[in-house]
Amino acid sequence: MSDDDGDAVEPVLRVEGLETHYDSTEGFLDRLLGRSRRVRAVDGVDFDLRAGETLGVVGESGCGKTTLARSVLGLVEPTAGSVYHRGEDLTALSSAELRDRRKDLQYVFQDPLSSLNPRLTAGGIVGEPLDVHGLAAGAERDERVRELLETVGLKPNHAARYPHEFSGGQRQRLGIARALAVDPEVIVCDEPVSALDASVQAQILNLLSDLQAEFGLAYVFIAHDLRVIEHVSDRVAVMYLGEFVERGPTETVFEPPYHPYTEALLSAIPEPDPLWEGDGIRLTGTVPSPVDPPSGCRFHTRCPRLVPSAEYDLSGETWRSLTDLKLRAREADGVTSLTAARTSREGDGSPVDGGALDPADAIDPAGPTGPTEASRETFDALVREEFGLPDPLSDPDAEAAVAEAIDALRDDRIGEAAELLDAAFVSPCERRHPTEYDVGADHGIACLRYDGEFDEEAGTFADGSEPAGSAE
Amino acid sequence: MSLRRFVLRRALAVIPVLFGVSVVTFGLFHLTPGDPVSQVVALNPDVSAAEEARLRERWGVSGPVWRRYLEWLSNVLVGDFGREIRTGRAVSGLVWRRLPETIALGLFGWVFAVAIAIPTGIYAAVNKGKLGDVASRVLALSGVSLPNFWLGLLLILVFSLYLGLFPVLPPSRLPLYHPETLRYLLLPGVTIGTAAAASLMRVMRTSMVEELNAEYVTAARARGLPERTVVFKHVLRNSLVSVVTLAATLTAGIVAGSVVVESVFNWPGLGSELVRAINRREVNVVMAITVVTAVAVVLANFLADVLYAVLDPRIRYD
Amino acid sequence: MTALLEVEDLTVRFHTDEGVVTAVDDLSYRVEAAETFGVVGESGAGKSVAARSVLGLIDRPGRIERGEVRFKGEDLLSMDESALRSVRGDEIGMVFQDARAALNPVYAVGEQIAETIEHHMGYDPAAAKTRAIRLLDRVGIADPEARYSEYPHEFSGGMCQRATIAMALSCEPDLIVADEPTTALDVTVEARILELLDELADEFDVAVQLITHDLGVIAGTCDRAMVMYAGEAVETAPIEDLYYDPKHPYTAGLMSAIPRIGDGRDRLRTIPGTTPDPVDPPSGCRFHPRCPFAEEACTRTHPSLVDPETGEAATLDDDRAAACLEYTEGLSGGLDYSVEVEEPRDERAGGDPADE
Repeated sequence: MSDDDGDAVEPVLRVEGLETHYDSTEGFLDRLLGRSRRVRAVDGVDFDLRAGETLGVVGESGCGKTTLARSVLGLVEPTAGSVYHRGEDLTALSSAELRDRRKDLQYVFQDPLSSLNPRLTAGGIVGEPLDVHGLAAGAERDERVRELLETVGLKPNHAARYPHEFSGGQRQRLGIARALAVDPEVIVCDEPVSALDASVQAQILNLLSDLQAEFGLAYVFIAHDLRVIEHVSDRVAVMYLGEFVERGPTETVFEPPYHPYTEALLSAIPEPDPLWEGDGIRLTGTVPSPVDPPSGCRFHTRCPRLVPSAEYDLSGETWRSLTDLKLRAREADGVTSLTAARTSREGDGSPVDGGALDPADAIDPAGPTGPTEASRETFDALVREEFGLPDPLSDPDAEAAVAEAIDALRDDRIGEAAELLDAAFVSPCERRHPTEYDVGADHGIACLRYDGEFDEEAGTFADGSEPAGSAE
Repeated sequence: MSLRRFVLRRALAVIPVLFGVSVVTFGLFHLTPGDPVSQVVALNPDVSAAEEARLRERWGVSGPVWRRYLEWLSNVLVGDFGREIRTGRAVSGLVWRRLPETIALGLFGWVFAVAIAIPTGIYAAVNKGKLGDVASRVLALSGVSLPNFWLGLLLILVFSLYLGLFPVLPPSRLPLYHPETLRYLLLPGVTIGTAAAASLMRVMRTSMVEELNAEYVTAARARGLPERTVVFKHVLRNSLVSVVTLAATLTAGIVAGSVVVESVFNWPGLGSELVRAINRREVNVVMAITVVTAVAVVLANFLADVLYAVLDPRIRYD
Repeated sequence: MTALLEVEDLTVRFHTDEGVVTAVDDLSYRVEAAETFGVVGESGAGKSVAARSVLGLIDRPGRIERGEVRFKGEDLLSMDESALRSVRGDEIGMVFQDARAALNPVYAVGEQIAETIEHHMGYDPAAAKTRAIRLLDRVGIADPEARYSEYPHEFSGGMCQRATIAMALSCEPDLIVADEPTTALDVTVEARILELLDELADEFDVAVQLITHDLGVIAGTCDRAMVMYAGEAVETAPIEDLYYDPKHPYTAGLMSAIPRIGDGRDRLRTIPGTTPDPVDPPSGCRFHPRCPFAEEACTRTHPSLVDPETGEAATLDDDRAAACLEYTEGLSGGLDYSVEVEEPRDERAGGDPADE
């Protein structure tokens, strides 16, 4: 596989500032009123793919990795940015020229069954690209089809079978054979093994690695499974909400220093070892909508290592809790969503004895009219319990701000409370969209914590400026 | 989005559709060659040019098309469809007299269709593959295949002529709300509802069979819920979603069917009036009936949309 | 002593157009009160069918042909439908792979939980609602009062799964059957759901039968586990024994096929071939066409579950059992594999977790 220091070599694929947004506006009226909802599926992605290497792209569902894969090959039209292959920008090519380019750039789909025409035989499926690109005909074509089937571990006599007669793994082999037919340089593999059983998955991964060695293929390998990504990739990119948050050679990405998101992903892998003790890093909340991504660092709404504002003397954990309170207050329709469920405080322990879940017990200490009727003290405790906030906070200024916000909440002035919190507690991560900071050879992390210029203690940059406004 | 907002939005969306309907109706009658005046002139070669112009003025077929359209539209909006050519009576009076008859027939057809289709569909789906299912599917297939004029004649033949259970013709002046009317409604109502019942039953069955295989059904059973709760609470509401979609399209079928069925049963509704008006070239009457039925179909679709949203919360939140 | 759940000689067949599929063949296992019992296997192993059989949820064309499912000593399969219904949802809860699909899209999530509570516990609607809200809170759904009246499509995948867990727990059952509860979820969500299940199982003192294809999921949560292949159990063991001393070549093969971070392997060990045709499974040991240690005898003799130490037929009470001829007749080549335990990732001194 490739050398890490092969920078001098022109990459087979260079992606610059790639953006793919699409419109999810629904309905005639919305369009009429100009209410559009732009989904920023891929939002500014750069990478190089070198000859013969595998670039792994990993991320959770909804991070835009499949859209990225399709945009790179022009299967969906990117909104902005360029994809260079042999010095030519694919996004500027006509569809006919692009079709011609597909001889070098191929795609392997996640679901082998739905991507194979059920009415074609295996031979027809593998032979189709040969016909389309006029690469072989007649006896030569049949010979080539047999050869391809053998290359991917199928039998030549399988050529007469239909896709439904194959197992899942065999179908994926067929999909790979189809991609290989045109003798490509690059194959974009979109979750090629995630629909397969573990034992079959290993077979396909080995096959892909054999083919790479034999034909010098370069892969862009998209997957949600870090174990698979780590195994196949020379370099890895971690994707979150349409952006790469960490990028580098595989060994360095899977070792500290980590982007907090990468670290959380790694910590969540279920290890097949009963005595394994994980780091126990758990992300809260869900991936925010790509329609209106969070300000600053897009991960700040869930980041366990959010940088506290230097204004206060607060622990990272407390800061995380404060930010959660703030984010929830912004969205809340009612105060109940900001308080611990009123009954959970009764503290009669486990529900095993039927106690805590007994309806007779469900009599609300805060009264049936809601938590705002509770005493100031009870209400305060309920809010703090819901978010795990200490009482009082270690920093007196912060405590004063929180107390004021809780008072506002108690009076049902949620909007006001949200504004108070918004004004008082702003992490540098919310202000500044982090660029990729170099933390090692070819290894970049898009996180303020790795910005050499940024002084976490002072909350300022080396030049004394504060991270105001979004720099990008 | 709340249900109320959804309904409001859909109601607003009806306006451009109705506008389109009016344009198309007007355009069809006024842009095709041979307006009523030229026809009258053609039949009476003695008509002078001055008289023709006066006729055009009186019947509103003079001047540029757009101005005629606007005039017509503003009249229609206040319920004025012009006058009958032969009698000079207001068309609106005729329409308002006939409309309830057709609505009664259509509603009866609907009630009959739904009353037959939903229970049969449920029964067939729950007993999929058994005798009852096969029998009801055969019946449904025949129901879809029978032309309604033929079915109407057959029903008259059997129930009125052979069995003498129903009078062949409705009494001319019996008011609609009279209980006796129901007897006369029965045969034409069944005729008009049969095809709808058959299609509804087939869709009900198919969608119910599909829903019965859904994971939430297994989950409901795994929670120990009785089978009738599973079928009538959980599955039914989901299955009705596709039925409602079809029902909107079937309304147009029922409206179209009323033309034939009213003629067969001599039912004094808009359908039979339409046939008469076409024969007599009463342009204003034909246009009025076209507009009224088009509005009815649009409203039926709107109702279906609302019902759809009531049944399935996912629609409201799109 | 009888265990909470005892499944004995369970055989389930599906009569399909292609032929008769024996999805579960002569399966026996037990789940003790309050333990978490894992069932692991690849697609076609019969683990989901086995799970659904426990609740009598096998539909046409499937049929439970033979066997007993004894829950608290009573055979569920010979109960009439109404007696079985009073067990389902009340004493045995179920959690599904696709939680969103397991919730009825046209009813509010909370209503569906309350419905179960009203039905089994006879609560009035208001009390059932209160209890449902408390359950939603307990499974970690923020703002449970508002969420109660929301619909499944307004919930994220992870929240749907939390809601179905609340539903399964709603009547304080003694057993929860969880069928691939985290397979459809992202890894970060999966980790949280597994922790939640673990925590609640403990708190509610409920036994869990956890079905999964992922050995990683089993390792972190289960006390004992059973490995299934082609409709049969091939190995049962306490969790640590299963991973550190697998007795069946399939178990060992499955473990070595998983890529692990930091193991630095260029190639994965694979199990050659594919799962056998369910209509016409191989003769003898069903795993023999894919087993690296298979010998002539394996093609002829069907191995039964035995105690790997003594070679005696395994009973329900045995903790350790494997179905390989090595433990009865002995294979001339033996089972030539060994397990290496990898150092934790951060200490970075890796070796293959399973190697020859």
